[in-house]
Amino acid sequence: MDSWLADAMRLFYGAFLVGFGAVVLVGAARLNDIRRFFRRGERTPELEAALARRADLESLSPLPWRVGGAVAMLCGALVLTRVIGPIVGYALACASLALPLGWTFARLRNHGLRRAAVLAPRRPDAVLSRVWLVLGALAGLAPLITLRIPAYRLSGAIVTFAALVIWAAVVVVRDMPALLSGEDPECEMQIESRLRERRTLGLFGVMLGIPFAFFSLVGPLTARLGGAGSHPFTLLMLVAYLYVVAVWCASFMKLGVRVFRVKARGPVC
Amino acid sequence: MGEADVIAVDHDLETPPYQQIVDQIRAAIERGSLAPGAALPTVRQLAGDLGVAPNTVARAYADLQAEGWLQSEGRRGTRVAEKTPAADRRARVHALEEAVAQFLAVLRHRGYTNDEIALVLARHPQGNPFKRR
Repeated sequence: MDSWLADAMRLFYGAFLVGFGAVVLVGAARLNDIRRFFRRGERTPELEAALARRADLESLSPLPWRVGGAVAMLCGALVLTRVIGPIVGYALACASLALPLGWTFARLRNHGLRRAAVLAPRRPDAVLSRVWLVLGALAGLAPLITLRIPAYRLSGAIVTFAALVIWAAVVVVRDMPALLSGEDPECEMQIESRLRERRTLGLFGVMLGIPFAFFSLVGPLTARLGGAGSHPFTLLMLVAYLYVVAVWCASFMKLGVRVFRVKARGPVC
Repeated sequence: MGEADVIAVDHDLETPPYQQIVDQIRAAIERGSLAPGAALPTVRQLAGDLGVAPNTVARAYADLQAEGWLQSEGRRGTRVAEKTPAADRRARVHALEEAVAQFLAVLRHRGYTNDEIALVLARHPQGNPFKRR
């Protein structure tokens, strides 16, 4: 690769990781703030009270995010100082942020304060179908195609690991038991439904995005190295991955494809 | 979705959790907030939401099925029976009388007089249930 391009990539990704890590580090509490899923106009006093109760029940700690942000910053610094390459730095940063996500939702899944329930069946498939869960898992495995290239073997494995950790978080959030205090059941159920939907879809989008950025880094280098792209299975995985991402994006932008249906925002309680 | 559709388990009560579930589901059917044919959550879902073992919910469902309140439809889940014991008006009235008697007994045990109870009910924000419209 031309040295100026390598330097530019190093500079860009190093700075990006430092900046991204800093944002996560500083905004750790905001990342756990469930009020961000509700617009200001929606927030009635009843909703605010129910959100406060929910936040108390969840009692999410910002510490994992802060650790993840600090590690991402460190990765960026190591990239800038040429200790590690930008691709390895990106992979490590992904893992450092995927682990707090996985830990946070696994902890929420095993929360010991569940005491109230609504007497109606819940249908997780209405949030994200099992077909899409399987497609998501396959998309998460897509970076494994770089295992054939020794230079990207480690980073490909780490990115795959990070994507699969987030995929597991998607499954956990989608199928998680409801967390209700029972004080204002109707309002709490609306919050429960909104949080489940937004968290599941948001995590799924992040999971698809992690390999995408990885491929955007590896792609030009692979082509230059004479590439793994000539292998039929590699091509198939790559095309399948891009197809999944394209359909997901089309659904997200409401371009005539419906993978999921985000409920319209409106009065909550 | 109404408030009546929510049940809770209190581990501090002497009543075992499965019995609390039985009582609350039965009460919801009697009140009419769970209509005949209404689908109930799966054993796994309800157990997860309430933070109890699946066997606890399974036992509660089994008891309610044996009493005729619920019917199992195999893989399709559990539903409120089309003809529940509460469909019998006399049984329904009897259940209500028992519930009111228990409610009044608890209040009297706490030292409230009939006049005090009547006064509070008359001023209750949800309206006086005894006032004829």
